[in-house]
Amino acid sequence: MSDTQYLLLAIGLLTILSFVTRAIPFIFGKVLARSQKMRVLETFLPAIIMLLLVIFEMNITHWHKITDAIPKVIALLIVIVIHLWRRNMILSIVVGTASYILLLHFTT
Amino acid sequence: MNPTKIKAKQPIKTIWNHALKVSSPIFFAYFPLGIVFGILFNHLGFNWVYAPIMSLLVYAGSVQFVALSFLMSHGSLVSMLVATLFVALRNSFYGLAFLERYDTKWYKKLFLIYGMVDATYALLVTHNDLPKKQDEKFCLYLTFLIMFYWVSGTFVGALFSQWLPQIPGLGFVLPCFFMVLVVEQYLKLRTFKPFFMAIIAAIIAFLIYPQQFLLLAICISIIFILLYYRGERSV
Repeated sequence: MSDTQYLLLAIGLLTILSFVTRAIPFIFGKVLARSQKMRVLETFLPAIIMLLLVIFEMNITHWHKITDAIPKVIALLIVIVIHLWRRNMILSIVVGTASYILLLHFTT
Repeated sequence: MNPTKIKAKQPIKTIWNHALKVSSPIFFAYFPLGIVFGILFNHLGFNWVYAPIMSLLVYAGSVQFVALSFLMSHGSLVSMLVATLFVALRNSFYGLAFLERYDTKWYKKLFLIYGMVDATYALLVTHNDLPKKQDEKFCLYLTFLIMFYWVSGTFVGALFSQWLPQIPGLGFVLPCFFMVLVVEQYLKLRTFKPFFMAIIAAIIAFLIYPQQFLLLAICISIIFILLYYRGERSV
């Protein structure tokens, strides 16, 4: 198997994998769609997944010391305050990211 | 992100602009991230065109980054699939929110399912206030735009990898984006309970198996929700 064949096979397999994992609820979910449990999950799961994605994106496993967390936590607190104040998504994200870049600049 | 009022008879262009506006923060996350993927892909030594092709077909950021490390070492494809499966499995829970909303023509449905990544899920769950017809177009446009940001980023990164500057800290766009959506979810639900559940689930997942943190934490959270709201009829 040549290098390119190896790569194309890998891309093909990954394409199938990523599509199938996304399609699973649509294949098996029809039966569940009307159940009470699904209603509860639909209501509360998005909030949970959103917060878990925040934690996931913080790359905690790559922190060397606890001070690595400080600029991230401060920037996220700024995002919360700005968003509750103005409720403007782009503003909150721009201010949050800019504060992080600045904090990173001054703490290292 | 004020709740956008789009009336029943709006031209397609308005919905397109709405999707463009709603998805624009993701441009600043997925486009640079795509560039990073393109640059790293070039280190493998394959023709650069395979980078955007991979981003278009596989279309799963974290899966692609994990796969890179296996491709780099010419690792076995089976072990690559096992490793990426656990990264991709979290997407299996995203569709639960769209079982009825994606009830449309099969080819549109296939595209919407194939295009369902973290940001698409997060934005569509937050913006669900359009009437049925407009909402279908909105979902399609938004899915397309986010895919376009990722694939074009990869294209630029792979093509111009030598000349691109790196801005440290720009990757923080993504946690900020999800944090905004956490606030939006709070304003919608007006309860801290799911967030407490998420934090406890996150701690448990970290203690058990930090490498599969996200998938594990989602599974634990689902158990929490089902246990806590068992028998409650008021939701």
